[in-house]
Amino acid sequence: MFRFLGIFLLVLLALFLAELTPPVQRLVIVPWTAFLASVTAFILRLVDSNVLAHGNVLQDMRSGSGIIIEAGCNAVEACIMLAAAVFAYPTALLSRMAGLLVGAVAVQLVNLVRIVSLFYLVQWSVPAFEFAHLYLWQALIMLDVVVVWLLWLRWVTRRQFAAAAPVPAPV
Amino acid sequence: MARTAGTLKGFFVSALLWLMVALAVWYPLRHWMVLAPAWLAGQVMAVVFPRWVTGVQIEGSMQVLVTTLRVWSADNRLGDLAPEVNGLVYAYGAPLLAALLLASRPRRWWWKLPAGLLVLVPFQAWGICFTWLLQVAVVAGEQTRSQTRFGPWETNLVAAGYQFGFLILPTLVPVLLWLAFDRRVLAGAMIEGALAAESR
Repeated sequence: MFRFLGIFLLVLLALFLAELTPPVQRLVIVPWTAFLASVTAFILRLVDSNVLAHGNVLQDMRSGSGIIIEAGCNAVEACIMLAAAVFAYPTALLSRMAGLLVGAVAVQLVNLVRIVSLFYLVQWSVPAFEFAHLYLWQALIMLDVVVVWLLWLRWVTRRQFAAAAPVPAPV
Repeated sequence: MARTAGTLKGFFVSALLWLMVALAVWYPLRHWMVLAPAWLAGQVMAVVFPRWVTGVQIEGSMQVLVTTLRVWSADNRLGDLAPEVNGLVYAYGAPLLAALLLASRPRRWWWKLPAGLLVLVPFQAWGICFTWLLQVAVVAGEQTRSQTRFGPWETNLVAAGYQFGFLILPTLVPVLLWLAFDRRVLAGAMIEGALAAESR
């Protein structure tokens, strides 16, 4: 457990500090956040033609209210925590890569639901939006990370046990 | 009474429901929930920066750091810098920890929950301290630098500490505490995996 915790914290710190550097911000975080805004706008426009998207701003043309998707709203930190937990667990590199890829997609999909829900929530009630934005969704995203990691752990254990299963003796 | 660890699906649904209950209890108590971290943050700031920190004022869930740092306002008036922070944005780990513990229900959860909430306090205080420091060293850095003697290295440290305290600690620490208190869900996931391999 201590080995896991040590590796987890090291990977977490390394990835987090890397995220804060200007080159990573410029080349990864800012484009990813803009991409997230575009995807959200695309999803919203499928059901609502009054959604206006410019840059990382999503706005409702009727009410004029909207949201800005900024660093911290892109679930990158949640993915970093998931990556650290996946890499800290001793298993094959391929299993880790699969866990990271599928897990990150799962976390980002939940984050899309979060952004869409916040977009409509802010038009209904600003206090409800504040509550959901600052507290509820933060906890939900982390809960998502925990469950995704546990599901990955179950999958990895199944693979390990299946690979180690004794070959039936020839009759 | 302790409950045996259920399936992951059951745990997730239970944690989700308990999170709603915990948030519903926590939010009306928000002014009290920030008192301990706000007090601790004020004590730490007073010890580390005794030259320019004079106290903390708590107004609801907002905490104001009272300083002797002289700054000019936008309308050219000279005054003392008083950075403020909503400590609640660092305190939502409490309902998350409660939800995880109540969903997995480890043995003696009734003392693990208050003990866990107590352990969260220094991490919540971290967030409050670094938010104050961010306003001192970065937002008003041009005007306060000669008074605080913060150099570029200290300013970068403050910025990194703030980001870590805002983006990582509030969600990570409750989960680590939960894993320290109860590893049966973790073990349950691995046993389920092993059993699934056996039944193939």
